[in-house]
Amino acid sequence: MSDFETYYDQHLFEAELQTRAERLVDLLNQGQLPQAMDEVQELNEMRHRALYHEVGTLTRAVHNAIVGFTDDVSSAELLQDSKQHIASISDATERLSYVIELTETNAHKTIDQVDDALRYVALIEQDVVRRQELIDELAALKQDHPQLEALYEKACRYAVDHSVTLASLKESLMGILLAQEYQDITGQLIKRVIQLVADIEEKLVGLMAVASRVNSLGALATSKAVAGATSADVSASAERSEAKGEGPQMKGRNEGAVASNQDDVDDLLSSLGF
Amino acid sequence: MNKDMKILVVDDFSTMRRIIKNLLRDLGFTNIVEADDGATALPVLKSGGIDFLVTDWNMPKMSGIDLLKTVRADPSLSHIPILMVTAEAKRDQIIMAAQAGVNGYIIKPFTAAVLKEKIDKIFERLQG
Repeated sequence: MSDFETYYDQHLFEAELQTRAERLVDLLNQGQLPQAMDEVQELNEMRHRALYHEVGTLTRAVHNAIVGFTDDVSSAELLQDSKQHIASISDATERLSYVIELTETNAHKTIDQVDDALRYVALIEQDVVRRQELIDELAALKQDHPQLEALYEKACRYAVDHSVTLASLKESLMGILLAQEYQDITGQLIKRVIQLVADIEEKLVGLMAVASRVNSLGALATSKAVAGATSADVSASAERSEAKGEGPQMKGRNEGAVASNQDDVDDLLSSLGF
Repeated sequence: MNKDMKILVVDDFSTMRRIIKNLLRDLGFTNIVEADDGATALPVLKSGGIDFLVTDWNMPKMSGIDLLKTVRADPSLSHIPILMVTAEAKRDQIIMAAQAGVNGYIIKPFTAAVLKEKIDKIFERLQG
């Protein structure tokens, strides 16, 4: 709903409230109590309708936002091969689950590569023994050939540099490995958001169902109001018991509506005129 | 500290299990088994032979804290040292874990050096 419409609706609501309030005062002044009670009942119902309309509009907006999530982001520059898969998912929570899946798969790919690289590092580390054997041979040779002294020192320096570089390489690889733990933390956060989105929609749909009950009950109470002066009390208590009694069934229905599929939510909202 | 001891790593994220496993391997521990939840870890523990338990807190079926309490309440398992590696960083939670009998607590994200330090400390204390 646009801001203008909201303003307009609110404006109408206020105007009607004023008219009815004035009529109520007139009726009371004239001593027409039954008609005045009718007026109170209608005012009450008007308030219900306004609230019901707001909740309905909000629920529809949330529902559309969840279902329409795909259209908003599929144009983003995502990995080419993921694109088709993403487009096939029509639900925001499923999209978020897919983000977890995607980051997990890629974290594993990275760890696979690190594992391979660490194996190569291990192989080079094993070769250090062979390197030392060569240096030892050279050391033995230089006993008889002093001209090999410079070459021997060069080889020793090379061996030290080589070991330092190898240690740094290993440290970097462990760093890459450890950096993949982001996936655990982002995954947990996304799981919480998924739950939040599902909860919000479920609660709103539940609220809609309750509101629709109260709304139809309000209409019922008005027809009763004509019959008796105590109708306001009757309808109030009826609303309470109805809203209360509906609880457990509502829970089951809400879960069904949200958990089974988004079409059910769509149907429910459409049936209520949203 | 016996480098051949059997370690059980429990985390619902497979990435995290691999990371911990790799870090442990780098520290010289190669006898490592995995479980993805407290509920799947328990039968592994009960089948015997686990010398050290590394567990996450937040898992779907049975949380790390419940696993910790269950292990401590079971006379055949209660001796196993337990290290928690978790994103749960609230003071109350750390106290709760300490009261339940945890031997070490690491908050994610962490470094290889922290993991080594905590493990060293746990086994120093046990031997001392």
